[in-house]
Amino acid sequence: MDIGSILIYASLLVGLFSLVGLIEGIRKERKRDIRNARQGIVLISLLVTIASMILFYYFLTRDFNVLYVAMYSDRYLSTFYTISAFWAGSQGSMLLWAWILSLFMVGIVLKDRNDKLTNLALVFLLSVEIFFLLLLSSVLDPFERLEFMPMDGQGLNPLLRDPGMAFHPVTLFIGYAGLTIPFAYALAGVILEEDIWVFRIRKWTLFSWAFLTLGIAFGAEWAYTTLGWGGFWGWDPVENSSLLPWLTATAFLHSVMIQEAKKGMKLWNILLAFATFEFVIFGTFLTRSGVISSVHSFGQSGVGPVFGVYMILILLMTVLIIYKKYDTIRSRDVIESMLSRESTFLLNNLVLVVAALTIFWGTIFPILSEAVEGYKITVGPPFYNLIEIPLGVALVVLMGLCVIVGWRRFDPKKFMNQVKYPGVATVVVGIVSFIAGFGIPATIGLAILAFVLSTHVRQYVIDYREFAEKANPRRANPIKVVLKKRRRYGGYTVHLGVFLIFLGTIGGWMYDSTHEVSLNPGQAITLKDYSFVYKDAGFSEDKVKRTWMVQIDVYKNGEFVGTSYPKIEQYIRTGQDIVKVSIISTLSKDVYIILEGLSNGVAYLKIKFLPLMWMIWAGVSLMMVGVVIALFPRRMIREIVE
Amino acid sequence: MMERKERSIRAAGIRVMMGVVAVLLLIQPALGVTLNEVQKDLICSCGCGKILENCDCQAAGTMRQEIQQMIAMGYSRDRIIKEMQNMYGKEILANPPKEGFFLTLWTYPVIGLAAGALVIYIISKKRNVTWYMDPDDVINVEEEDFDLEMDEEDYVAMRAKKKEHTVQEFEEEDYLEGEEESGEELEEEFEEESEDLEKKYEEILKRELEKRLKKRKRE
Repeated sequence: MDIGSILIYASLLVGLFSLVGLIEGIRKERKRDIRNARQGIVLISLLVTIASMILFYYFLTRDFNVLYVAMYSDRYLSTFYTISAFWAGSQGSMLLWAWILSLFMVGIVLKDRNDKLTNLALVFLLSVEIFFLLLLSSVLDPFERLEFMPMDGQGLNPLLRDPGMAFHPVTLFIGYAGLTIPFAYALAGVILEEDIWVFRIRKWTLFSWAFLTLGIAFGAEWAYTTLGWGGFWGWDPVENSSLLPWLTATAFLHSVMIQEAKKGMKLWNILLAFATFEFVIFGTFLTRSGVISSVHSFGQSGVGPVFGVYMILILLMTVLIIYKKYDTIRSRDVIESMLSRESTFLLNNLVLVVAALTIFWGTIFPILSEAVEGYKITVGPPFYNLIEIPLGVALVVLMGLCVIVGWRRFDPKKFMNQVKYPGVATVVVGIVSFIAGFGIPATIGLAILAFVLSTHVRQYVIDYREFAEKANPRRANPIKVVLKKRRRYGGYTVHLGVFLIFLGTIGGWMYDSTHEVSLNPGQAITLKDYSFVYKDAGFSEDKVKRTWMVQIDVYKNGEFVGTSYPKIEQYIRTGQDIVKVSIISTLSKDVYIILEGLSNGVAYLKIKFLPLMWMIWAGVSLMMVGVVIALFPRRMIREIVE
Repeated sequence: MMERKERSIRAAGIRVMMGVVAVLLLIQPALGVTLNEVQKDLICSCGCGKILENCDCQAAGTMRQEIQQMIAMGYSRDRIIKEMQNMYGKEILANPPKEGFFLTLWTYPVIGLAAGALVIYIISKKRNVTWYMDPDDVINVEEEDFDLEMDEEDYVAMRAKKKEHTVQEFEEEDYLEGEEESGEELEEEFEEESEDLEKKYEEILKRELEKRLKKRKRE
């Protein structure tokens, strides 16, 4: 047996002992048992970390006797992609999951108050960890050895040889594993009848939510640059499954504020934390089960039924706990007036949850259709676009509205006063955009932008004035306002990031254009404002792949913009052709060039113009800035602001 | 003679029919069934999971050729899609039909949205609310200082007080005192009382928090 497997078994054993110790310790209030179990959690993390290091070592030393290494790497794979091959298949992905979750548990042991609530939450987290360790020590052993030593490995799927795909699984799994924490704390809070859990999970939820956002963005970037169809989101089942927990976690981040302020929405928040966790498991299940065909299903295995049973067990356990404690979590009233921030949060929750449930419905519909009609129907983009685009528009409008209205009840006269200037800005920008001939989608988008931006800026001005009045004039500083109300301004910055993504999506989806051209060497072609000059073609071959490449000089209105090198790579071992697109990004649009074929020097190109694509990546970056603002440590703030 | 006449009439009829078909065949492509209209509703058959218009593999190329041929033959969009389904299986469709079992796919979001809106409506009608703390300020309070159990006790006490002043009781009081007030006036009175209680409660909470903060600083 390999040392790595032994470490996994050992960590499983420690996990089981710690679980029993923790439960007994909490039940009988035995401090020693609890202390030992907490130390056990740190030990599990250490063991899983060493096991992960060993797997990295096997990859880097090209130990093809290990089946997993032989399946996902070869001798010629670069060091960077050899490291990323760790999570190219199911076994490594599950190890990564278990590793990240174990680190999160150590974080909780070190950072959160050592009390009954935290320890009970650790019981739930530990049971999730044990589930993954059980998988790793049985059906998904990453350290399984072959009876012989192959000369070389099978190599990494060429589609995964992209920097985006190297970061995507790690960031996504940090998000997935981290979103187990609110669920664990929610269950612990319900059992102990303690509400403090909503305060304690804030930092963990935000942190995990940020990584999930990054994970989704890396996946989108990979789809954009590697799949070569000019889009970043195709409503593919695996893409959808990563968006599901994001939507429910976003709803949770908002509704939890109502619980903090009014002790309402208790049951709803528990259900959201539960749904988020179930969607996390569903996402892992869908990617690895192969139950629905997807462009993103890599390294499938037969663990689907195991995940299915696990999801049902979690559902039953949650229902049972809620049923037993229903009297203590029955929600109190939350609305004082329909014109209040609470009501906009309720609407935002409605939109986000309906979006999540419809995406979930569309994603599992092929399985249902197979059961009922006998074949798997495909639910493609038309369905999602029809439902999700209006919901998305409603969501961004709500983002603008929730800023205007305050908590509790808001005077209608004051509301009209507050909405006056943003309303004027919306109408003016809308009319100007329409007259300028931007088209209906862009006009709507820009008008909403004017509304959202003006409401946010207005609120900032109001808060700054208020702060400046109270504070010592010398100490009043525009950044301090943001830091003092960092939850608010962290959120607002995230809103603006989401809005940039919204605009980028309008540009990329509604105003794209595609042109298919064939060019002889030296020939030029003009499309819209851009000219393309086919300069040269080249061919190269190494031990891994053959590459056909063309050099295209791009000019805008006669001015040189850049040189583009679209390629076709043919992987010798598998014969797989991979299109490597070339993208020239400008402020107005991305020029996306795909080499479709090269014959006797003639280059067959597909040229796409995708407006405002930079906004999507800038939006994600802005969202991360927002999270950093919101997560600024309390004690540091006190020193700076007070 | 009659036979010849009939034959010539029939031949003329066939000629006219052929002419009409030929004109239709010429017109049909011009009427607008384009490759793009068809390929955005189909999935590539290679198993990649992409919409046909986004796939550049060999199988996608073959499918496109077949669609082009059918367009040239004057097939309608629906017929082309049906033919493609016959060739590649029902799974090839990117957009489920809006009939039979598949109708549930399309109706579900509407039902979800309507049900959610109804729940929000019901929630919005219940207004026996207590305000604890602004979520913007909550994060500035140390967990140690924010003892929720204390809140719980205060809350119970406040609810008990509030219960004494329900609208119904106001009505009774007024009835005993011989006063008659409209429903709106009673509600206003009730709201004012509730607000006073909440303000008092907030003050208690703030005082308690300040006390604890001071204590912490001293420590």
